[in-house]
Amino acid sequence: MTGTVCRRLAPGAHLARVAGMLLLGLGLSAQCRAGAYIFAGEVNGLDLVTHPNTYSGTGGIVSVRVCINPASPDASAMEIPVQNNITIFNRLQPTTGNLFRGSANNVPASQIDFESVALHELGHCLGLAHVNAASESGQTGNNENYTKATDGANNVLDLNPGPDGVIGSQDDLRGDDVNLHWYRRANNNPFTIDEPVDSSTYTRSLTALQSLGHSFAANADRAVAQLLGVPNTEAVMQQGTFFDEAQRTLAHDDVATLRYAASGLDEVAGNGDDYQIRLEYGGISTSNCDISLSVTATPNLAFCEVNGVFIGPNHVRITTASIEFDEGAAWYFNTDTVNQPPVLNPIGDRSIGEGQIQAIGLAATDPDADALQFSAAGLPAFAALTDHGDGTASLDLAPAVGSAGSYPVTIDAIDAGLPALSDGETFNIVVGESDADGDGLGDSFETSVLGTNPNAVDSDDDGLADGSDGVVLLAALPDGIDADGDGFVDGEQDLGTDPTLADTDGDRLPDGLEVANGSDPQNPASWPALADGDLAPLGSPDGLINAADYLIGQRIVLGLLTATPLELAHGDLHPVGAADGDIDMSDLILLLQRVQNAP
Amino acid sequence: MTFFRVGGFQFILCGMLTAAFMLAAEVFAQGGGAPANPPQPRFRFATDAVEPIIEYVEVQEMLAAPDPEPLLRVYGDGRVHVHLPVYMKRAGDYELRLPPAELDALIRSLAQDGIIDFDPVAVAQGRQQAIAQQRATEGTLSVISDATETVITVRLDEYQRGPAAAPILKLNKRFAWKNLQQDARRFPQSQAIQRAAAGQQRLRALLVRPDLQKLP
Repeated sequence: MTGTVCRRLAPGAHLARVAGMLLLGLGLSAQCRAGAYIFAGEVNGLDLVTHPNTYSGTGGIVSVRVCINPASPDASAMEIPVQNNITIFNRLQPTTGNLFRGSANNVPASQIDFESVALHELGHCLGLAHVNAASESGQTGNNENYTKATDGANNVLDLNPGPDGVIGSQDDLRGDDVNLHWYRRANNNPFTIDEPVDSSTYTRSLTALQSLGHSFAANADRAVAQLLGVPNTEAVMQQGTFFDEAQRTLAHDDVATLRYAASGLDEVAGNGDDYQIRLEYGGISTSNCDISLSVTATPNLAFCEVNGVFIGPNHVRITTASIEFDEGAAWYFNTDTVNQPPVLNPIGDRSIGEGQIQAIGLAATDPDADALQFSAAGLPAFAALTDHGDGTASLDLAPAVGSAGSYPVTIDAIDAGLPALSDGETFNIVVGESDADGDGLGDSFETSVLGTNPNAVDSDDDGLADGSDGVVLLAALPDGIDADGDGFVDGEQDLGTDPTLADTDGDRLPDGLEVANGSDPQNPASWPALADGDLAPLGSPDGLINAADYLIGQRIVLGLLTATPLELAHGDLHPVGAADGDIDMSDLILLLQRVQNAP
Repeated sequence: MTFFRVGGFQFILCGMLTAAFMLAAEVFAQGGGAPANPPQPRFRFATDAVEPIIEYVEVQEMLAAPDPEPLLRVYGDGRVHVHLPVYMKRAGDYELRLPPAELDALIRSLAQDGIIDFDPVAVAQGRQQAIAQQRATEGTLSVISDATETVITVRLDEYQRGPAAAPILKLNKRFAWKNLQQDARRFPQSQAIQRAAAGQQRLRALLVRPDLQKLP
């Protein structure tokens, strides 16, 4: 099948035609124009890329001010749709399922959705052309849906839908037609997008299709979408809208084409000439407007009149752009604002011990009252997310022994709008080891490393807490087991005492007693100068001073008993404040005085 | 080297192209060969209401399924039928009746607007040259994104442009032009486009006549 295109002017008898044909020979004639980028074509350049009016080749934010002409009879009603369009272009979020017809939209039957048509026309005003051959090709009906191309050497568009019978798809047979549609090198699928978007991932040349086994660039027409498994989807820049149809969000191909241009004059993303389009709403105004929208008495349903100038080889900058809509058309002016993102209530880091359970309540709200869905990323095996379907969810934690550690988790609340928007938070679930005795030491650590009792704060009953970074008496832990607040459990590890022995050096003085009174708990020859005279019962002083203590002291002096460090610690009273290391008569005299003075 | 001006734009062309280009530009300016003050045309049409003698269609290329029915049909008995598609504010079918004198004046004005004698090839040629000139001298590119094609059909039993012209029997003239109003703004130097746009406005005025009666 072939079709005429470009309305080439046949030579005729009229002299004017002769003159025209001569100019045709100079390449000044072809009426066919436009492509994936507006202005692209045989005359201006096949590889031409068009940029918004405020881009001059220098990277950064490219601001485009969009206004509503105050002379428009529907100026006020246009405000929400226009602002919605601006939000959509600024988000640059690709969507699928962006076509809504009949009862699936809020457009009354027999009306045309202003917001959808304005989105299309704004795309033109930003430099985008139709992705399909469209009416400017001279084709009619379904043939307008072939991918944008010029007619090649034979001056005729070659139109064959290929084996799949779907116009605009990857197997179209287009003869010598020259593709104008920038497509994704990796898969020629206009309903996907690559990263980055630049000349490394997108091309207009058909040579990249060879490795894919495709014959022509596919365009984001709704029939092609159906073929590729993404029904009810179409590029906004596909010409051909139905009344009672809403298409208010961008498809992947729309976003890719804008982002390709935004890779700048070098068509390479990630360097200094890249830009970001930022549309600004200028209100109902004629001041400082880059794009103006008007409802007028134009016979056209809607159009954007665009002018541009070259800013480099194959690069054009728009100079003026204005949109007009037919005041006689039955426009539907959407009153719903574009989808707003949900808000997830703050969560924050959470701590839990092994063997414990915890339910974390999650909640989110949506300004549009859209249904919300929760999702989680990075969940450990001991965590489960339950979505209650009402804007709340619970994250249930049940870490088993051996799960200790820190787990970064991301929770997202996603709304049901189009495009779907989300709010999320990444936080840490910190699982501490189980600590049955509450001494701050994980049970498995006590069992496998320290050898202490996970059910006792002081496993060896020496008066020192089981621990790892210091030595503190149990009695001196008014603030708990980390009295020094250094984040580590106080204990006996640093002095090298055995946390499983009450008396590491075997001098019959508990390690805790020695530490508390300044002697070395690992040295049997070192004992504290308790000098309290408490010797009885022998080997386990009872804290009382009485005749029993004197009798033991007397037996030591008489040589009937040998003083151990325990007896020396208690019974070496003389000289006072400077024990001499034995128990003799001087000590006995002082002990007798204490017995006599004891209550 | 030749240096001349058409419609405010300057051209610089060389050699043999110059003469041909000048001719095309002249045609563009004059309106497809039509003189600026054409003689009064003579015409005859069937006075029955079988086939419209004037049809007016706006093909909205933005729409995937535009209503193909003409917006306006004028019959030889003076009946005017207006059809506004379902997606128009005043959707529906309307009628009015033009007195014979007004119908005669309408046809005469379409002839004087150049609609009947419009030479689309010549005018398009001139348009292309003006665009090329604009690009060459100003570096400016221009596009109208979503076209509307104006189609006007005139059917007359006999038409004679002027006393010196040969009469045409069974005239069936189809005028078709995209973005006529925009071109009229863009190419003020083109009398042909200016007059055709005026003719279009003349027909569009019938669509909003207050004496239209809505049909049940």
